[in-house]
Amino acid sequence: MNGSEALTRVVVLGRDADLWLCVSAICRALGPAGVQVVAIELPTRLQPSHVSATLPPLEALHAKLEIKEPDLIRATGGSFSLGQNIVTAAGRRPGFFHAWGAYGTPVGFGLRDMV
Amino acid sequence: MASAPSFDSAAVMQQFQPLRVVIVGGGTAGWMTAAGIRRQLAALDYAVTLIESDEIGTVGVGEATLPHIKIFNDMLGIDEAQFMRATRATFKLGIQFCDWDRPGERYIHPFGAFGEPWGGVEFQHHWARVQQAGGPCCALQDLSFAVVAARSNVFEFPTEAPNSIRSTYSYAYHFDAGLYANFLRTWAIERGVRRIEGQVCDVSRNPTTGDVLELTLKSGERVAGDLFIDCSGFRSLLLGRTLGVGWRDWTHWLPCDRALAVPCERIGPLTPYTRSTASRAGWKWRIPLQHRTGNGYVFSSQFIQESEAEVALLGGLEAPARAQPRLLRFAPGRRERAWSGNCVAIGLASGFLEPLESTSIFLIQAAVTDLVNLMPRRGGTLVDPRLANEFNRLNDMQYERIRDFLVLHYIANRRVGEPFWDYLRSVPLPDSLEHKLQLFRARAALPNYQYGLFARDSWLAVLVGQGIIPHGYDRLAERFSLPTVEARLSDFRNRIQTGVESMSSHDEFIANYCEAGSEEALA
Repeated sequence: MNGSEALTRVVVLGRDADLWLCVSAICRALGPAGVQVVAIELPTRLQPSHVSATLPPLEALHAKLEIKEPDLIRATGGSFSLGQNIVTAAGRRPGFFHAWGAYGTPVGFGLRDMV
Repeated sequence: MASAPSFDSAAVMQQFQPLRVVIVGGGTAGWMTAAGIRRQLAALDYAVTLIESDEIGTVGVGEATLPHIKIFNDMLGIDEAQFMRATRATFKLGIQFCDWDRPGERYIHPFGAFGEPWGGVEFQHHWARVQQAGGPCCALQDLSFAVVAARSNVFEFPTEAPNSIRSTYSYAYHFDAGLYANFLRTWAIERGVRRIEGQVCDVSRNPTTGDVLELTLKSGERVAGDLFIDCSGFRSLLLGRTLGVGWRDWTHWLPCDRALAVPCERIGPLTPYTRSTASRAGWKWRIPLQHRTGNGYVFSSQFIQESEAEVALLGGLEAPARAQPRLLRFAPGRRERAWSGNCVAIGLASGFLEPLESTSIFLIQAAVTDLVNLMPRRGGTLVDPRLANEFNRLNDMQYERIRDFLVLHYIANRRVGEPFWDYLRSVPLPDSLEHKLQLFRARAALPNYQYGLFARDSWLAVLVGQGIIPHGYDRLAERFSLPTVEARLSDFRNRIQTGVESMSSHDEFIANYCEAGSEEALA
């Protein structure tokens, strides 16, 4: 990507969080390289009932964007999530947690480290 | 009152018998396997027997290794200096490739990093950007500590301090593979591995499942087992000859099918690197050991006669030969399944890739590791295809990735007018390699495997060494101004120079740490 072929202008078409996350990430990463971003915003499709459950990598993206977590959570009425509790509707079987974290810790010499 | 449950004493006894692992062949592969199993798995659970014959030679020539071997030795608890004395080993910081791009050009594939990532952007993007801007740029080779140390014939151990330039490299060894096998044999026998001297002359199999039951030796002795490990080398006695597992041939990508090996007297300073020099119909190796230098010519019999290759090898020796050249015949490729039924092939019995990147012992080590992780348990299902499938998946992945990396050295040559090299430039590439090559050309992007060979910096060394230059880079690199990056590159180069200048010579380091002494004294 050198000289005259270098990309300088990106147009992002979309709505809601998808649009603004995409725009922010490109601006943040490639703004220093002189890339300009234009956002074309379509009407929102969010309903008052919409909520988002997110995955841990979002925290890293927010950090890259220098979004302050307390501000974000205050502004969105958010709360923390340590995982998802999976239960059957009938409750016939016990549920389980899909937790955002590791189980235990490796014990002994990790043979896999060898190769 | 209910009757007592029936009690099958034979079945119960079976549960408490150790699983009988029988290894056929005692070269590097056999003894690394025996030692690895003995160290990692309980003797109560696994009884290990190894059958070898003093009458069958091993391929074992001077062997160059990769840094992984140190982890294997450490896992066994081997004292490094003792092992190096016993195998007359020297240190290795990388491989020098001479005349591969075109005659007169040379580069080193180091065991270490190029530069360092800045601003979360991989180093090669910064380097490629400066290159493409056409400003003052450092040669890539000057930006690796291991390269500069190797060129200067110096060696010291790397440090672990993360900010030190001396933490940016690792090392491997050159050693006598026959002596390494002997060293591991002593280690393994002291820890309970049973060694049987003999040659296998018959294999009996279960007529229904085809599994191997028992081996008959020339002496008449019979050796029964539960799991058989074929370390019989090119003969592939169990997996190939007995089970008839098919062969996947890679001659069209890697046409070399012969090697001539000859040791010569040691002269000059000990180089801390292996040398590979491209030649008319293949390449020549030079491996420095403490007491002699190993030499060889890997060539394609389609492009040169054996007698001509011998003349070329002997004519190019730097010192008098110490033996007659020995010829090895091989085919590049691998068995379709290294683990079939109750038989697992490790080492040359499972496949062969020419030693251009010193991967033979690595492949043994990877197979031993995977086998130990997937080992059948006594009392369980001995032949579990789920375990075998996973072993084979990992093994195939290792072979194919190394194959691609080897092919890369050949196809990107500019030795126009030599039939062997002209052929290699015209070979259609494996898709997996073509993709990597194009991605590097377009964006300086490098493969990044979680497991196995080769690491990013290895790809970078060989791609750039073979004259493949990226036309783009990751524009995240542009967060720094060009002069800032240029200054950092030259600062990094200076830090390397200063660090290398204070190191002791490889010769001195060996003399102080692990000198084997004269051969008379050793004998």
